[in-house]
Amino acid sequence: VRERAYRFLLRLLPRGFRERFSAEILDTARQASQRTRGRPSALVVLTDLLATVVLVRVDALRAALRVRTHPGSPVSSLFQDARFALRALLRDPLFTAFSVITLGLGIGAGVTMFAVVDRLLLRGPDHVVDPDRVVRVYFSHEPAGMRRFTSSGVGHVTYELVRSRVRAFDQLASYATNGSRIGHGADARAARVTYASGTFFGLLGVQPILGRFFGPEDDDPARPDRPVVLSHAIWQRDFAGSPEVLGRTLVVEDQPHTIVGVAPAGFTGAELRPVELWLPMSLLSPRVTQDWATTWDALWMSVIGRLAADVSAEAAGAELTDAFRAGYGGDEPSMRAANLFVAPLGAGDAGTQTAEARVARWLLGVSALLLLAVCANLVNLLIARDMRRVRDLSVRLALGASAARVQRLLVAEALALALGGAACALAVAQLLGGLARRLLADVQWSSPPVDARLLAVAAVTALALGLVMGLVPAARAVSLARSSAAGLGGTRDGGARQGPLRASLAVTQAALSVLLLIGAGLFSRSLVNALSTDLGIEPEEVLVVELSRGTLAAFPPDQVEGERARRRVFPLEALESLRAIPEVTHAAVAVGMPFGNRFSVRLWIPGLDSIPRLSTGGPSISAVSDEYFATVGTSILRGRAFRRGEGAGTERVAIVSETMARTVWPGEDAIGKCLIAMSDTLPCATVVGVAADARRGALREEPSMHYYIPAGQEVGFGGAVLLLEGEDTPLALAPDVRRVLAALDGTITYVELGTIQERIDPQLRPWRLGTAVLASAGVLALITMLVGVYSITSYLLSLRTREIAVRVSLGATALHLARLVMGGSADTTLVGASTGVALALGAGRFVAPLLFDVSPRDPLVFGGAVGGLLLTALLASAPPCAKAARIDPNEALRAE
Amino acid sequence: MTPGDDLPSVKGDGLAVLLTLSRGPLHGYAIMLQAEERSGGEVRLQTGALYRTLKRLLDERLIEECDRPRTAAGDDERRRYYRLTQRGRRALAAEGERLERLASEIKVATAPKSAST
Repeated sequence: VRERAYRFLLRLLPRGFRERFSAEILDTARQASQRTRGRPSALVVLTDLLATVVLVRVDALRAALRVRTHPGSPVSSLFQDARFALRALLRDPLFTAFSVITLGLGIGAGVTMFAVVDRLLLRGPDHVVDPDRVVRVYFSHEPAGMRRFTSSGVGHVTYELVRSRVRAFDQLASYATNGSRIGHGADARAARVTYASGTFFGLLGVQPILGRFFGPEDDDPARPDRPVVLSHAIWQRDFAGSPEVLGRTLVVEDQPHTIVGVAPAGFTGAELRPVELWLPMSLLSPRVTQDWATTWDALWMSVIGRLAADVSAEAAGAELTDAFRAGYGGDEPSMRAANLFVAPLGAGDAGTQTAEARVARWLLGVSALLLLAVCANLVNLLIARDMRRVRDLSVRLALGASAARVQRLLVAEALALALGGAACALAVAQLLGGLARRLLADVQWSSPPVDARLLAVAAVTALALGLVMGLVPAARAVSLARSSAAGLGGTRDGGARQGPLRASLAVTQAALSVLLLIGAGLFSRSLVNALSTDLGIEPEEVLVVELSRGTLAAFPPDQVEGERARRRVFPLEALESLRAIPEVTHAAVAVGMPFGNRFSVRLWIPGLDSIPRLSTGGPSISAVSDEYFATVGTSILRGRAFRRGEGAGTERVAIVSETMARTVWPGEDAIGKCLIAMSDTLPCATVVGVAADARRGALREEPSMHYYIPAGQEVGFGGAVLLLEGEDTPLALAPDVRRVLAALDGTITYVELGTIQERIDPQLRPWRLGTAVLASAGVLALITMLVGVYSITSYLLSLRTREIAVRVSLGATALHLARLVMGGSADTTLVGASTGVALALGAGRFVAPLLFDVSPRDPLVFGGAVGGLLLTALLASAPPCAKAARIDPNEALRAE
Repeated sequence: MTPGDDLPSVKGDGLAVLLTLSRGPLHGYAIMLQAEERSGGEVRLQTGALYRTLKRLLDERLIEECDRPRTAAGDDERRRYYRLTQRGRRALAAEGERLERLASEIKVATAPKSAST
């Protein structure tokens, strides 16, 4: 490995030099590393070679520029500064490596988080012109007996209503993204397809890179050619980027479409998730429902608009609300009181900032803190280092160097360190950026982790830090060196006292470390709690099977109803064959499931005027087969589960959740009670069991009321999934399940398999991200502190050797000595720890919403963080203390 | 001013290499070892720095490549040897004079102060 690194570095040399010397250098380096004593470490050899590459390049550059090195020429003194800085740094490779690496990690983490926040929050979706003026329309209403419901999903009538009555927008468009089937036969696969109104591309302001986009004139179901626009990615992958692709046919949902254009790379429409194809909305709407042009009940599209000049988001919302309430023609009373509002394109499903974006913003703050901690530590180290060189500097001053020049040399050193740090930061950003891309996989990252933008941010940060880090210590060192050159003494214990500047730097660093550690603790406890929380189901054990088939429109009109009925009962009939697979332990059908579809229907309870409500709203319903409770792992607390054979046509029964039983029939036994669901013309369903509460859609939710009816008895809602539990991991069942289903029904076009846990995982992401970033930042802060405290304590000790020798000869005990050596650092650590704790207590209020069942003042976390900090400080000052205890007074005084 | 005016000044690593070569021709690795040995470990040339210095000294015609001396028995045939040129010897001497002047200046500059403390 070492040899390869040498060869790599040597290849970077200018050609002339390389041809003349590289064989010799390699030979000598090899021999030098075979020496038994005085052998240079690999680190020394590598930094030496790296420096040689840089310096030889500089020499060559200077020769090329024909710069004469006469003293005073600004260019030549610049080269001298750079050379001085490099040489001084190379003399201290450990210090240099440590500074470059910590700075690199600090800057690298900072720029990566900046890139993430930039992607999630600042920059809109790519290729959108003036994205700040483009908004999405949301509506929010509270149906009787249900929780408040906020969504961007609307129907065609709402879009038409807004288009004809609302003046707040210059342009308006609708779109809907779903999974559609492309290709046919064995090549068919699911693709993310956006159906968009003809105004969509014009509103966003995007330009095609090939051909054209479809416009309003194409958005017409009667058009025979059915235009389709390809994403850049699919054009590259499936069509090899060929310009001849225009006019060719692509089969989507079994229908031929004509390729008319290609979107630019990175274009994802109005959201951040990648999209593969764009088709006119008029091709989707008739597939949703036959009365798509008039119904108020089907909600399948989102509406975006470009705000007119001088119209605020609030004004647009108010106008939308008025127009909607006046124009609503459906029969849901709560919709007449609905509120409409607009939110930026980056907002999530409910019109609020996504959890990722919130956490990313916090983490950007965290990485700024980390960078601050790293810099505070480095400034402190640089001060100590410059102090050690005061004698050397004063000689330079005595020999006639100007103070400004000496100062400039020291600043050049700090700048060189910072630039080294920036180079290292790019490597770190490459790594962390890759990680962020894996964690946020459903976001279109159109740029590589390290691009020109990030390069610029890193370089500017490094230059600014280098200047600040260089100027402060340099000014101090020069003024000390001056007084010592003037014979005023002061070098001996100059810096032995911990001045206010260095003390405050050390306090800052300790405080930030504690803050980061507390954050890491809170987030990791949140993650543990979130993972171990009792959901009322076993999400990792359950395989969810969803079936897709071709459109019903492909059937002759007289067969559509029969086919629809066949599809409805198919899952129940397939259960028998699936249970025959040896590894399947339980199998069930569910219409409505945890972390899946959620249905609410009208409900009457004889003896009650109205259904009681909780903060989570009214009861929700699912229709499930026998074995459902055993399959998903929800326990039956009293009574019984559904039996085999219970379903369509049998007596009506129901099972209610614990919370529903307690809320609807307080103090009574729910079993034997009666409820009427869906329609008041149906007979009463008898409650036969009470099931444990299960989460319906979120890791964090208040218990809600839920009840179950046998699958086959549902009216007015549908969409069954198959649920399987196996002996082994659920996904191991996949091949058998696919085989069995394909044998049962040849019309199934697509089987989607996944565990319930996979649906929960995105909700865990903020805590995973937070724990990973905070914990690594905390550990890094501790390591920088360890090195900082150690080197400063050692340095102070070296200055006070004589004093300690005198004290030892006067009979000081080991404890006295320890206090003497650690004195300053112990104080600053304690003050820093309390400052950090105070800051964390203050920030707790703001962090609390991001935590999971952990108090932002968790004593265990606070204790652990402070303990970790104190332990680190102790560890760092232990070796200098031990050294102090070994000082032999006679020898030390003689050496003076 | 002085006749040595066109001579480049030699400092640091360059000085160490010239001084080491003043005793006779050597190859690269030997320069490294001897420089360290003679200075009692104080001068430590790293490989890359050494060859950069050699390149500069060659360019400035202070040293030159030479044949393998017969005394260097048992050594690798392929090695290149370097020796001081006349010009290099003069530059070395000039640097010695400069350092002597500097040393006496420092003595004068520091003497009265140590008396006053």
